[in-house]
Amino acid sequence: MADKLMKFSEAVKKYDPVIGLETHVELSTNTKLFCPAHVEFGGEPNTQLTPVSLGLPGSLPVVNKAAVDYAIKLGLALHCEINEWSQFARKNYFYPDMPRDYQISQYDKPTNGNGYLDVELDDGTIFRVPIERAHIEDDAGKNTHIGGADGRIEGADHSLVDYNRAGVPLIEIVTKPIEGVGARAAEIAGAYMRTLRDIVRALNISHARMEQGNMRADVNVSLRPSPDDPFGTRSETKNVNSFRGIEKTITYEIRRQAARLDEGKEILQETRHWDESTQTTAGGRLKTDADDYRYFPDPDLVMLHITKEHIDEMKAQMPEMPRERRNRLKAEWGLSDLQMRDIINADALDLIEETVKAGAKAAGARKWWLGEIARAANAKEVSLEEMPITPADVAEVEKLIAAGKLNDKLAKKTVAGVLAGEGTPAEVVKKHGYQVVEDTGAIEKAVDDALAANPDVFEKLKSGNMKPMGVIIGAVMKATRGQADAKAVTKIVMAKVKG
Amino acid sequence: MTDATELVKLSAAEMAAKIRNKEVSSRELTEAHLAVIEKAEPTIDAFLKVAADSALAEADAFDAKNAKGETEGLPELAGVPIAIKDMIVTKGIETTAASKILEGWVPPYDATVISKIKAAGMPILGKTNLDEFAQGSSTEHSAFKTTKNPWNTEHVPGGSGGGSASAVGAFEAPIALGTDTGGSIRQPGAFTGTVGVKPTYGGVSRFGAIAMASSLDQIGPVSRTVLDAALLHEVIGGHDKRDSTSIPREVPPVVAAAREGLKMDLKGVKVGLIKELGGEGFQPDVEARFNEAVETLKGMGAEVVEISCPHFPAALGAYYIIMPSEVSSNLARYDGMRYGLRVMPPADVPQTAANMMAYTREAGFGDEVKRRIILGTYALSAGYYDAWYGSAQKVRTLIIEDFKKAFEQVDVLVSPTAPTTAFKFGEKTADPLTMYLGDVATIPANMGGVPAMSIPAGLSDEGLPVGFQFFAPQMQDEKMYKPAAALEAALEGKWGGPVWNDLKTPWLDEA
Amino acid sequence: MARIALTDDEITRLQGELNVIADSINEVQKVAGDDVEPTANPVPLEAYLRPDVAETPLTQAEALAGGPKTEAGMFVAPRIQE
Repeated sequence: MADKLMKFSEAVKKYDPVIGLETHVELSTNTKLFCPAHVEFGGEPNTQLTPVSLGLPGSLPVVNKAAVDYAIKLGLALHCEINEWSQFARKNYFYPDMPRDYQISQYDKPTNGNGYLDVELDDGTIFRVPIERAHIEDDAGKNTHIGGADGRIEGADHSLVDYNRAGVPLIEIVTKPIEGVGARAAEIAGAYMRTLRDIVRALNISHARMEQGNMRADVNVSLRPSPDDPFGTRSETKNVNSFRGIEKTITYEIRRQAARLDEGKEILQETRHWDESTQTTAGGRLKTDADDYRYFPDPDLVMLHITKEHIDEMKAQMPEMPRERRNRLKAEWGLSDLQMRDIINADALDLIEETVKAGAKAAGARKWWLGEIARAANAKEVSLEEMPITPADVAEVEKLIAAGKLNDKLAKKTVAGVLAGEGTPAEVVKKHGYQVVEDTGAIEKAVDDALAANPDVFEKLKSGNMKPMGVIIGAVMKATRGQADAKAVTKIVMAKVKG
Repeated sequence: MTDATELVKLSAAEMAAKIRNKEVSSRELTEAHLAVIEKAEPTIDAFLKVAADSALAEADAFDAKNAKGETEGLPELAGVPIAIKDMIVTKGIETTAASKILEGWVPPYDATVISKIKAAGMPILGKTNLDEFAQGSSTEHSAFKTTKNPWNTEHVPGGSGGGSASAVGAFEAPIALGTDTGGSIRQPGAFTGTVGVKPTYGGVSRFGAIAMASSLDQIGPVSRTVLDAALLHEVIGGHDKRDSTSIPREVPPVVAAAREGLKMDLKGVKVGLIKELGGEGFQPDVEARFNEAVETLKGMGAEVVEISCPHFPAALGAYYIIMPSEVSSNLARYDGMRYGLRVMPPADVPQTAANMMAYTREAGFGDEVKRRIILGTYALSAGYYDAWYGSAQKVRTLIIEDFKKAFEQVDVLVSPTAPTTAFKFGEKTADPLTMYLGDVATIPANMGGVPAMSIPAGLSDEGLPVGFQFFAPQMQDEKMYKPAAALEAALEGKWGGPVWNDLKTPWLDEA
Repeated sequence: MARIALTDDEITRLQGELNVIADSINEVQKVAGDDVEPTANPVPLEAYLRPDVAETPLTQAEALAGGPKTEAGMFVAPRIQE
């Protein structure tokens, strides 16, 4: 049954939305959180295990220093209080992908508490998102569902469990209820997630690729009549794994809950999930006593002591944070605020920076990533990163242009070829024989032909009216199948006109 | 008596000396014990698994090294065979924790203590019986067999480590490893006339000890003499980076302390009698043997005072919250997915993973284990946590403080190990609470993380062994070894030999 | 929550036993005052942090050897949803 939805503008006029985000970031450590099994995406199933990550009887967890250091760095970036003493706790629940049938997480003594993250919105305003905590925990294994439709859990006959991912370190960043978001709820959530992603990447603590599940968020939404009222009952939409999905979930939940409240129905405290195919959230499970995780301090682990000296050491290793970096690059590239924001909003900053590093000019790099490639990505509804073209490819195209080997038109064709999977720019150029015609004899002949075919234009040019120059260039391009260099053509025409 | 029976009656230290002098080989010792095991097992049932082939291979490997003079740096007990409680993981040897849920599980790794024992060239004779997942005080809760007390086979050997205690008591093994969560090494020691040591929490790595209650569990030695226990303690102790609760220090000098004690001079040693561990509920002949031993300590120059540990009476209740809470979580992993038993639900029940787990656990766990899992699950649940688990953790603080204050006044504390001697089979299984009360004197050491040991204090009126318990401060295990070795030597002097001279061993006579 | 399919008999028996234990637990609550800090580990230690260096893992065969049911290098779970 389809949910009733209220018009968004009406919903945010009648109700004050409050959102919350619980984001899981998978750390890119070499080994797992509690055992020295190497972690690698896509290995053979059940080959990245020690007795600890398989939960064998007698095995014991030992904390990975790198995971703690990563957590401290993230805590610093999020302006958190880093607790001198933190503690791991067991979260008890049964699930086939949990090797010990409890997760080791942190409960009342997390490593990072109480911070904030300033995020920049489209119009340049800064919104401060309050952070409740950022704690360390380990991941579960992966289930492959067999016998149902499309590998889904519903209707499956059985599941195959690969515990390779079990024990991979995660940091869960939990916001406080984010108030005062109003009609910008989705925008703020999106900006927060992107900023968080950028920070995590700058810190080099996670690959932070949402499509690989390195980053996923639980999205909480509740409504109340006005900001003076207590919080309403919230829904929790689990494991949303794209920025767009998060934004759409928030908009959808605001509309759905507003419609329910308007009908006098209550909001159920439930977990939901975002369905990309229907663009809706679907009801999951009501909270029950099975959600009593019976947290208690893990007796196999002792208190984690983080000294001030250690925090200082981590501080000294902190890289440039994304906002500083943006300001620096904006200045280096000579961009306006608006141009920079376009780059940020398109998620193109890293790509452009890498393209520049690979030898392209900033203007050229920006033109490609926000132009041809962005258009193609939009059409496919994927992120720029997922497009089959690399910063090195773009830089190569730019170099060919600078060297006069490609003109604008051929360059676009080359990029299109790369996007179509025809290979590197050099391979595409070779395959199609793209090259700027440098044979002036051929161009001269084409110019002569064009002038002869358009005597009226020739007269105008002679009289100093340069407006119809395009007609001649167009005709020459046509004759040379686009391979002539427009500048060279202009030069020859000018010589003829003056001569 | 044959040479073999004389050989097995030696202490482990004496066996080790004979190996060093090349009077006997590790293989001969191992064969002698395997022969006793074969004769004794029909009566005693101490072993769940005898690993004769691998034990002999390990003995031969050691003998070959010894012949080439490559034993430099090995512990004194090198080449002496040992039995292992089946709560400790052994690569390639089935490890079950005496539970149907783990039946047939062959571990792909060794516990840290097993690696150390193997490195020392000590052949592993086999895996000994226990109460399922070490939960019980009589070894009656084993899913597989009932181990008998060698002193009277109608009586229990104690528990949970009844198998290791009986094996050592019956000369099937010179030494063994146990695990002690609430007295599982010391109480069977008391019941079988053997020595049982629970080291300081964190003094011996728990890596590879199947977890019962992680904050209380500790691996320790089982032997017939205090010196043997000390020698084994030094083999297995020390820091292990694979156990986060392992203390980053060297093993305390327990062997030197035990040897020092054999001089029977306790001048300057202050001994505290724990006021709260005696009197009501303690068998009169247990108290009599205890008092005689205290007099013996005084006779060697020890100064004896009474000490009050006011929070010990709350220890039992707190233990019965913390222990089952941790059990409920530690035993969650036995879910039919990765190892051990799997039982699918009956046909009229949905064939889901959740139901598979429930039916597997119902079929695979025994009553006592289920009882503790259920109790622990309640104790940790949201509405009860503060009142139960939270309060129990506070009692732990108070008990640690009791010990601290006591050890500001004395070097060691003493008490009877158990209020009674070994009871008869079935006598207490119907009433878990009286069974639990038997642990009243052993539990405080686990709650406080301090080392404690039980040594024989003679026999009851019925001719059953009585245990005498020493406690020492955390990380100062050596402090109890000196008076314990002294008391052992003095009592043996008084009795004209070790307590087991009175033990009838028909299985040895036939060997 | 404990995921054990108890029979009715077992439930009745356990309830009786739990009540008995609850009595001795009351003793605990009496002495555990608000001014007492809880202790999780009997010996005060701070965590040793392991270097992020890989060690040889179990082989797939070793990992699967104990599995009651395996398929294609993985452990088989009965259907997860009701």
